[in-house]
Amino acid sequence: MRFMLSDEQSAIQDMAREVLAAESTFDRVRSAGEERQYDSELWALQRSMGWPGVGVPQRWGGQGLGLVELSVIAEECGYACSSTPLLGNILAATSLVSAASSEQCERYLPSLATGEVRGAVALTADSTPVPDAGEAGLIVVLEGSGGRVSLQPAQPVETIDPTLRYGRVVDPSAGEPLNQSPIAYDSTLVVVAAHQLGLAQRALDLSVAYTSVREQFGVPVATFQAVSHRLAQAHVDLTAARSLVYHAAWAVQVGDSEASASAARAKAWLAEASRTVTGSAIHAHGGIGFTWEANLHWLFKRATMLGPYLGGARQHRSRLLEMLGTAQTTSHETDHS
Amino acid sequence: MDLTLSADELAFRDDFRAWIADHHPGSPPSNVEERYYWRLEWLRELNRGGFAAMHWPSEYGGRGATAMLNAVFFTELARAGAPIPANHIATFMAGPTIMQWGTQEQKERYLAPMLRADNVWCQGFSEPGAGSDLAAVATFAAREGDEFVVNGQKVWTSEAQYAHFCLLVTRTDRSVAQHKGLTYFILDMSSPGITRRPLRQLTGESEFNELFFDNVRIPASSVIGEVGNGWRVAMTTLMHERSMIGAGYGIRLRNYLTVVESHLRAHGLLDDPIVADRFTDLEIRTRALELSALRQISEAQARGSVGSEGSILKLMWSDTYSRLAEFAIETVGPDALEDASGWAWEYLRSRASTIEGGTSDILRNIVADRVLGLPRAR
Repeated sequence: MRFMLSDEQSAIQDMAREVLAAESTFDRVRSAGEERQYDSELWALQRSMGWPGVGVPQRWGGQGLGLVELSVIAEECGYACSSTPLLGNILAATSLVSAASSEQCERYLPSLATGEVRGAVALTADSTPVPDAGEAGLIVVLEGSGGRVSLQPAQPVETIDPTLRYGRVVDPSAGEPLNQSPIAYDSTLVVVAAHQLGLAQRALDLSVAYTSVREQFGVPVATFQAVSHRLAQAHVDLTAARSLVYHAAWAVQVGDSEASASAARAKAWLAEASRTVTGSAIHAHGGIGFTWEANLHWLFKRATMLGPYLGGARQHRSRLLEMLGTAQTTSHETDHS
Repeated sequence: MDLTLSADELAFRDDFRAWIADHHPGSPPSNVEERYYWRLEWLRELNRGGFAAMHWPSEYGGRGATAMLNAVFFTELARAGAPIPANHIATFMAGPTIMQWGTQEQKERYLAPMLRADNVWCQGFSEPGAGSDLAAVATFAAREGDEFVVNGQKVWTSEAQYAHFCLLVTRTDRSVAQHKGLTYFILDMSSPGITRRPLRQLTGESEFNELFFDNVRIPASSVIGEVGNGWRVAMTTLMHERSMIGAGYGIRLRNYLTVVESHLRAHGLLDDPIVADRFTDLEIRTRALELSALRQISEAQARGSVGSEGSILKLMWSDTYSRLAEFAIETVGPDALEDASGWAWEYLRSRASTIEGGTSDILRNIVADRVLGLPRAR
């Protein structure tokens, strides 16, 4: 058993972190947010690097990587809080890969993989604003373990997070039906949870850096336990988060019997932890944390918007309980012999 | 990323699973002392099967198991509803400490009897004036020829009522910096001048003891790792203590959670959406602890050393355990608070979880300092 990223997966993470650190600075995020437009330069770069097609099989123009690698990319985009439609494309492509017929895959995946068409994923029974749906040309609407794919535009919605273009599905019954596939929903939950993990991790890292240099009473404020313990607790909560997200990514990828439960746990935990940790980071920065220029609010706002998206904490805990009841056992072995 | 068991791990799991099926110790006695001896007998039984100390090198009777294989061992114990064997202070703390710092003679004399449960060990670290601040140890060992004469007091000594030997940290030099004046001994608990007094804890039981030393003589040959080097030896012991936490504590929590879940289901209590929501949150926390333990084992193996991650697991454990115990008594109803109720016992016992083995406050200091790299207050 090896519960950590492989060398190849770590290399993807390092590459994504490096690219986004240079090309998705908070200055860029802020100007995208203020103009209420995606960072088109960064989106062009992500397209040229093939990121929208990371999880799309090669025969449809993608790179054919798995959910763990997708989660790594999604986490890094959260870490940078980058303002591009990538999340929606990854979600739409991932759900189509598992729920679309091969004819539908042929029709829709190549253009999603290049980013030529922008995608988004919504839930039928949900009026939560859908990230990236505001300008999406293709929307996957999931319902139960089935769903539909539609080319009908969504109704744009202006939200507290102007760094992504949100929208609401106008007619959930539009478009053509997809096959039944629980994996489609599970995969999207993992990707969103990974993105939320990245948002929270960035907020914690910023807080560690700031409180280490910000002085009051003649010493760095991090030397006060009221401050350092808050950050230590955030780290503990994110340790749990990271374990849940990457276990779920692996479990869904290999079709482990715990896959759906694990995806539900990850989304439930991150729906709350991501908002809590980004909110806590605002506090740890003191007054400066409440300012527009401190940039923490971009992380906090997106974490807040993604919390209820595809089902919030309570919904996923309720789903999980049903699954635990069905399994009637809390055995959690990972045996694929 | 591959969470499947390797061929070796799988082969061991199947062997051990079959072995437990034939050697299961049954259900625990209710009396604290009987339960201890029952768990000690379980250690002997495991030793006969070659499972007493998976992580010890084979030359000392272990299997040289990786931390991951050790986790498989604990998972199988939990799956079978078998107890964690007694004498863990010997197998997880004294043994590895003596292997690292002990003389050849000490290794030959002490290690093998630990696994046969012929020697029970306790740990004499904490004192009334040295709790979280271990370097403040005041129990003094004065050199007299080939012996040291010990006077002072220890407290919170688990299992001292059963112990044959004690890992004893003393001050031998008051003239140097606090942590430089410490010396670590193996103390024979049958030595004259030792008084053991059980501490009655708030559950009414006595798991812990006070130890009083009145001119207790220890031969100089019982020093572990040189006079004045006690702080470093003690850190070895504590590192090994926390290395067992991930696997062991995840399992304790899972077992308790399963008991709570059975009760809730049997009484239809999960039909209440608030109860259901709280229970499921606790299930997620428990699974997160189990998974984090596995992840940290993988990372420690890749790095080749144990880090400060044990502190994170212990924080997760004590927090979730306390929440679960509170949830249980709130949910089970008035019967839960009757004196002989197992629910009440867990509830009361859980109050120790954020204190024992490093308080949550000290552990957050460790996470802030060594994991996050924040500037230190001191």
